[in-house]
Amino acid sequence: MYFVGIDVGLYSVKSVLVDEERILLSRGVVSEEEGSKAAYRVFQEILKEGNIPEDEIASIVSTGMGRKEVAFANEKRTDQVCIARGAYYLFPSARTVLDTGAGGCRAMKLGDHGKLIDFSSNSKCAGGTGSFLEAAARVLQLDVEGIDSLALKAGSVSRVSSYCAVFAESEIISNIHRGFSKESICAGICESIAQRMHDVLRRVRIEKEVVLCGGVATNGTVVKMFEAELDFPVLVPKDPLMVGALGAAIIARDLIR
Amino acid sequence: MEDKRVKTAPSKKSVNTAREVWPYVKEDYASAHRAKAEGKPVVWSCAIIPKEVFWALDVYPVFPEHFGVISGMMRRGGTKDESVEKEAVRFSRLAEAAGFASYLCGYARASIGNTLTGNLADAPLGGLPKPDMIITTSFVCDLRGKWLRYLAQKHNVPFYILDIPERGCDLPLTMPGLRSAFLPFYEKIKRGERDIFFSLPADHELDYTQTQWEECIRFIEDVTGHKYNQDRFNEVMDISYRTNEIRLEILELRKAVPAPMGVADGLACMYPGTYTMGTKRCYEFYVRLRDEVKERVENGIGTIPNERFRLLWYGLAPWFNMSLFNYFEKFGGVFVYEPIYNLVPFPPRMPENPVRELAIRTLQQSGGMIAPTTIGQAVSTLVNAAREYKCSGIVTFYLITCRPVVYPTVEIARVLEEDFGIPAVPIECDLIDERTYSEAQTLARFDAFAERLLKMEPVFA
Amino acid sequence: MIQEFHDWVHNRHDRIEEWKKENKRKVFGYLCCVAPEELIHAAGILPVKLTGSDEPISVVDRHVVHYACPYVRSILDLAGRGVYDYLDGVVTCNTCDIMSRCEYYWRVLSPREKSTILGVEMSPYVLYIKHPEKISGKGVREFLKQEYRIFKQHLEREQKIIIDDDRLSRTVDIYNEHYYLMEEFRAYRKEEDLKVSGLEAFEVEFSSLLMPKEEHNRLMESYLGELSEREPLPDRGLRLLLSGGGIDQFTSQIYRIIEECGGQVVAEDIGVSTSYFCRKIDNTKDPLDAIVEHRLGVHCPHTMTEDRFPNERFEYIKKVLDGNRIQGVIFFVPLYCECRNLEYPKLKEDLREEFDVPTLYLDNDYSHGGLEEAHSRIEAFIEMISG
Ligand code: SF4
Repeated sequence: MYFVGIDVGLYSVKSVLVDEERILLSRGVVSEEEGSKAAYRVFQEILKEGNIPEDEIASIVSTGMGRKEVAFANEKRTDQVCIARGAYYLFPSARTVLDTGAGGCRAMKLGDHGKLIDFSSNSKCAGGTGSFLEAAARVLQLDVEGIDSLALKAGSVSRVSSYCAVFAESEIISNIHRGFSKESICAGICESIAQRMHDVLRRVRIEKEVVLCGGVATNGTVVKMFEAELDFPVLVPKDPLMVGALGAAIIARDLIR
Repeated sequence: MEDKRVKTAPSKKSVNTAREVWPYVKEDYASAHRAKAEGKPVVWSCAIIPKEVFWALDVYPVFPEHFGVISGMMRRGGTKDESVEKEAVRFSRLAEAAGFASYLCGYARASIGNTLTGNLADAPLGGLPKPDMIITTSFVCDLRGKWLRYLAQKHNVPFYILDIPERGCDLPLTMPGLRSAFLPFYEKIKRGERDIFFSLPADHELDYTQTQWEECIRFIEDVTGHKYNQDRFNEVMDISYRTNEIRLEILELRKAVPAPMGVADGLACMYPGTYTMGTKRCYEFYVRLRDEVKERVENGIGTIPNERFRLLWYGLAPWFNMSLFNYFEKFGGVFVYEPIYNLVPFPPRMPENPVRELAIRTLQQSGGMIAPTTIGQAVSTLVNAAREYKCSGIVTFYLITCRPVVYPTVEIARVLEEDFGIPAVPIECDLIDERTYSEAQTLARFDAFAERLLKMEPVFA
Repeated sequence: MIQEFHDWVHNRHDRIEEWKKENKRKVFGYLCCVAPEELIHAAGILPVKLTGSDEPISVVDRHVVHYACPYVRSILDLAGRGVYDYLDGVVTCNTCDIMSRCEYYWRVLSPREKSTILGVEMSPYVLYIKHPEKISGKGVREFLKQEYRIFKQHLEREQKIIIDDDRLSRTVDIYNEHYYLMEEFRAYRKEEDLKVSGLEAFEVEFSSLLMPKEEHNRLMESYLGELSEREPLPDRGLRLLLSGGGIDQFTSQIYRIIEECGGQVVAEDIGVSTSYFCRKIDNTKDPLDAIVEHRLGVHCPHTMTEDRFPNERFEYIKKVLDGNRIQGVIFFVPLYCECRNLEYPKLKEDLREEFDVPTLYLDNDYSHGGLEEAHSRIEAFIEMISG
């Protein structure tokens, strides 16, 4: 028997295939199609890749913002529940999880047996999110990776103190005018994101271990600064973008059990 | 560090006595800790509460609001390194993590965050000594009641709230129990009538306020075992009264052209009177200040050499960046006056019933500018201030985290602009949380404002 | 029946104006639930709760800052646009920083000439009551009683009548009947097999703040009869407590959203509805004293007590939880509502510790967007609880 989790996000669709024991395959596409179409395409692709006939899929759970569009899913679950489940599956020692995406970042607190017991988010404000990183990159005429690699070389940090993303952008611009090095400005941007992440995480009361997933988890400097804020290392999955889809697949499996 | 520069800084003071304030503050924090060590009861209270009962009952008051002020100015360990966040920011983040909204007053977030760290002393000037009780009031803002109640719960100490009736909005009480008409107030303001919104307290308001004070005294007696002594209380009330007269004198002097004592000095010098009123030290401070300001007036010494325009300030202070008050100097602009912390005249002394006197005073303050509960009152005060201090522009503090201060701002700006041709410019942020502040936005507005004022004929010359 | 309640809630302006024309009587609006409705009623005036609307804001920005309760801003905007011109009077109490300024705002946004004698308005258009912030302790009752006497005098002058104890007692009886009926109604919401959804219950209760109490009482009697026969709801949902403010005919959509996500509000702490009116007025006392006492019984987030170790809000919520088998609490707090926000962290902690009840905090920015955002978080919350 096989189980599938599908995570329909703002810009991309991710899917994970598991059987009773293991994670078999994962797949993600960036897509401008409608969520339902893209989800179906990814589903088909993963079947094809795994060489599994559709009728051997015992259940499908969808998640993500577009989860309701996935008509062929047996069940739909919110991101919070799926990410918590996925993180706990990967790291049974996880107690707090932070997911950072384009649209916002959110924290989840796990209780006994990985049960979700609290969550928080900052979706209203763009500070501390992937989109802030992108906006900052545009201001500096860099790409997101560029910020990461420059920040790594910084000898100092030009702090961004505003927490409103719009103000922060103008602060970055005035830092440029003041002639600060690009490196220190990049470090300031990363630090500001790490602090915002910390703020969201603290709302659910931090307990070790902390799992970090989502897009920003791939930015080495942010992760490093985030760890400095926390004062201890965090666990980052190999594929931080797949955690939600994985959780959905595990939930699909739990449904049958 | 390759990047040396200052984004936010303290103000430049012109009056010498103003330079005494910082040592005065430091001495207060040190002696609070000494008092605590000697076993003297420490009460956490708030700025707006008259302090006389504390001195009379021999308890040591300290103030979470002021703690907020110093955390807004200082970084951890006293470093000047700008890559370290201000203490107010560190504490606020902790408070927000506990679920307190970022739209709450920075003072509240700072002191709550500091309490949540579990180590009060890891803070500027060693922080506040642990409270033995907390006394607050319902007066001015909703926040101070609930905020200090939370702190009382956290520190598990007895709590008292002094309830002061929130005075009827803009209607004078001509006779007890009767509210007079709401006259079209712009008309009155235009005629320059003063204090049209100033209302006399009604009997039941006075009685209630008096009861609240009596209960407050009883509360302190119960908690500390100290006994109230009317003679001692009268002594303190006497000092306060005399101090206030001197402060009013200083206000008169500040009307002079060129401005002898600007807003940067004014806001610094509010400390003794706001937090230590009723002490000899405070009295002496204002005597020295008065003498100096008087001398400056007599010798025509101004805050800046060539005044080209005079500005009025509305609102509390953005403590994290007081250098803003010097910003207009390069255009020949000077901030002349800040009505917010200044006291209204006190009622005459009533030595036979000083608690009644205190009740009258408390209610009178609640109708005054110090707490703009009444919007019409705030507008009228600002119009009169602009006239008396010959200001041709006003900077209004859109203190986004303080309801009582932010509510009248739109009306003040609108009435001053439309009815009097006095332009207004806002600055938007919290008082100590620099994360809410946009330098680019603020300075761009200020520059445009200065240019506009330079082209204008002063309204009240 | 339920249609009638629903109609009053959603067509309040029309219904009230119709009533006014038919009965040739006056209508007073009040902003906050502590306003002494009973006194207005005894004066022969219809007291109605003022609410906002989801129409875009248009005139209020000229006078009121953005950083103010969006719900009150919406009400004031309606006033400024003349929507509330049918009111003969407006009552506001100082139950929070913005409420205490509404006397000013209302007069500026919706000025009305009133005749004066010696420059004194004998019955002002906007009436302000200094409701004490402290609801217990020495001097509190006497103070509020005097405020009510002044208020009563204004009403008497408006109506050219004397409101004597008889009149007051008659009103007290009508209100007590209302409280009695609501108490009976509330019992249904405690049942395991729910017969009324949260939204329906809200409309039943909220309409009582808009329509004449006598009529509401009449409708309630037959409604309660109908209810006893009714089948339980097919889907019970998770039992939730809703705590918050700024909830009216528009934002009550939150109930629908909760129901869509698989929850059911079975009790409230929202300033209207079940929250504050579950007490009788003592009819053995002097009626004015009894009304004072009744109104001081309101434990809203703004109130404080004389307690030296105060925890009255949690005690109050505990009472609401009692017998309701609540599985979660949703806080739906108006943006910039300091009183509610300041009590939340401690309540959250206490609810966790004493009852192991999880909480969800949502900002009520009084907008469609805000409700939409609430939707996804409520969904996650309910999923979280159902495990
Ligand atoms: S700054 Fe404003 S909100 Fe803060 S304590 Fe003072 S009056 Fe209250």
